[in-house]
Amino acid sequence: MKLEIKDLHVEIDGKEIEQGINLVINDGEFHVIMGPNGSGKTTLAKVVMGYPSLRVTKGDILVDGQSIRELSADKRARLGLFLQFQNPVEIEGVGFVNFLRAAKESMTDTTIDIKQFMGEIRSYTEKLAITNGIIGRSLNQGFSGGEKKKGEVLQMAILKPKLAMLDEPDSGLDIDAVKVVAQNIQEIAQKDKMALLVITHYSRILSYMNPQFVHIMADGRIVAEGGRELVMKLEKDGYDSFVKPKK
Amino acid sequence: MEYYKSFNEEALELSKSLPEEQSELYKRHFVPIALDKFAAKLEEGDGGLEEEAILKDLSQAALVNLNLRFDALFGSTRHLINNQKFLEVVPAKEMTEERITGKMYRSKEDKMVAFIHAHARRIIFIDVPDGVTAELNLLFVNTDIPFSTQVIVKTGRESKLNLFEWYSSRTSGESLLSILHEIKVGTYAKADVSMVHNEDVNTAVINFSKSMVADNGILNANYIYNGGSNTRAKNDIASSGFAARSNVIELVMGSAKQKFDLNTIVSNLAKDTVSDLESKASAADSSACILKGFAVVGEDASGSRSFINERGMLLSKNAYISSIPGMSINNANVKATHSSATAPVDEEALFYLTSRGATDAVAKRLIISGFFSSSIAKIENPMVKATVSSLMQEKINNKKFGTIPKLDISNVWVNESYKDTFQGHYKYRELK
Repeated sequence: MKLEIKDLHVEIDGKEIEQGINLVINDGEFHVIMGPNGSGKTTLAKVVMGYPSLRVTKGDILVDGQSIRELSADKRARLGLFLQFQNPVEIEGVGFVNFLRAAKESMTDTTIDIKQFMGEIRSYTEKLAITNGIIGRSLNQGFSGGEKKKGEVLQMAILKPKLAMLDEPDSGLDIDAVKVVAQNIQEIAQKDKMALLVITHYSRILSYMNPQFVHIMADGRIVAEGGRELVMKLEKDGYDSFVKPKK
Repeated sequence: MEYYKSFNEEALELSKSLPEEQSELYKRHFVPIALDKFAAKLEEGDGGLEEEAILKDLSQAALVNLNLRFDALFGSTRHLINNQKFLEVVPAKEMTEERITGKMYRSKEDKMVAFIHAHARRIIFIDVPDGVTAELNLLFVNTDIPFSTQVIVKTGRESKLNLFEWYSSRTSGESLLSILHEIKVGTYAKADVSMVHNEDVNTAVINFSKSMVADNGILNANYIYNGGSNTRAKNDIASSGFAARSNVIELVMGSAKQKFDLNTIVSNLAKDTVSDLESKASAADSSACILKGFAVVGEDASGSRSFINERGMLLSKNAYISSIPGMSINNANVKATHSSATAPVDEEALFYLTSRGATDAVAKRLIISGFFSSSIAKIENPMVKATVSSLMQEKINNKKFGTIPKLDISNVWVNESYKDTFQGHYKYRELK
């Protein structure tokens, strides 16, 4: 899969959030977007996934050369896009497994054998050190911050997208959990040949991952691009060195 | 015979006019049911052999699809009884003074009660003796002839009753199903009463009940409203004995132009009593639902606990839900909480589910099922639980109601260990 974002302008409630984003992610590539709060990172991931209240005013989003601007979120998911939410929504009464099974069945247009499916889920819960409790509970309801993030990674592993966008996969995790989650994300992505787009504020999670491309965002634009060296520069100088002072 | 005649005449008179109906407030907040029209039809008489054939046909369908044996089937004018244990059916005209005396309802209380008193063709008595466990499954079917029946339930000391009542229809034109229950739960007895209303779109529904729970008794009352055109319900449940407990679940699934008007009063009238009312409604298309839950705490109810939780989910712009919880507390040493919330389907939740590949329809189905699932999980009778889940799926997927659905629980996930996050006010959580 090739994702192309071309001169993308996005607004919400009349306020322009993205101001001309250009980004290309090829099959199996590992990209990272970093940036200060309010720079438009989450909005970018959401608009790619088809969040309904975001309005694209200019530019386009292409998957394998075809525009996906008019496609609903479920159709984008079926093309192979996946968004790991920064704050996953709690949904009363919708069982984690029931939901995941329904989603997988929708994606693959098949009926899934529950026993086999549970076996697949368990193989990942062990790796991710997820307690069995969350599997039987309602979706994200009563989950701790860490459980939510691990639950999202588990969904990614089961749904096997072609491009996974992970919005702050490290927030809410303790030091040990960051390592477990980071290593699992990379392992799952490599095994299933997924492209990755990780959004983060901090370089901590990147010490357990090997991104090929790093993009720095500020004020709805990509202001710097490069490799791991950009992360080092950020660690040293902070975001101020990339953000133009406002007039 | 003479006593019944005067009782019946008084009820007939009362059913014709009640001053409150003239008020603007009443007109605005109550679902109208044209009683006069149905009263004339009720007098027309017998459904004959044709109705008997319908009953047999429906019972066979039920037996095949639900794998459920009905102990009795009641049509508008005829009935079939498969199992007479604990069950007695008396034609209303043969009622004697002794059997009517001591009843909880008075005709003058409500026009609808008077209407049922005046037109009930039969009275069904369910009597569970002391220490006995009974299970009864009843099917009620209204035809083009309106249906009117009274059910009087009494459970003895330390007895247990599992009563499942299924309401369905077989009509070609406008009809009515009116039913009145009086339930007395004995000392240390437990009654699990589930009424599943799945009448067809031609049928207006009147469902009134009054229940009393004696010392240490438990009443689990589940009222499920899925069918019918206009529904008027008034359920009055009193925990009147020491440490008596009433758990009431009301679930409404509205679609098309269905209207539901539910008035439920839970009363704690003695020391250490508990009343818990949970009402949930979903409204699709241009359906409307009014939930009026009211808790009464009597002067002698010290140490009692009352909970009212009303929730609504709007599934279309033209749907309407009004939830009006209320309380009257007459003792200072009690715990009482009420809550109410109605909202459309959460857009964030919808986006989350669709972003995982679920279609809009699948995502909405998951959200609606989830909305009801914690309440369905609390229903103890597994047959009721499965039936309600099946009805719900049928309505969400195919917008169908009124018939006996083929029971399909393959997609129903009822998590037994699931606990609703609503636990009343945080101060009282440990008490529930």
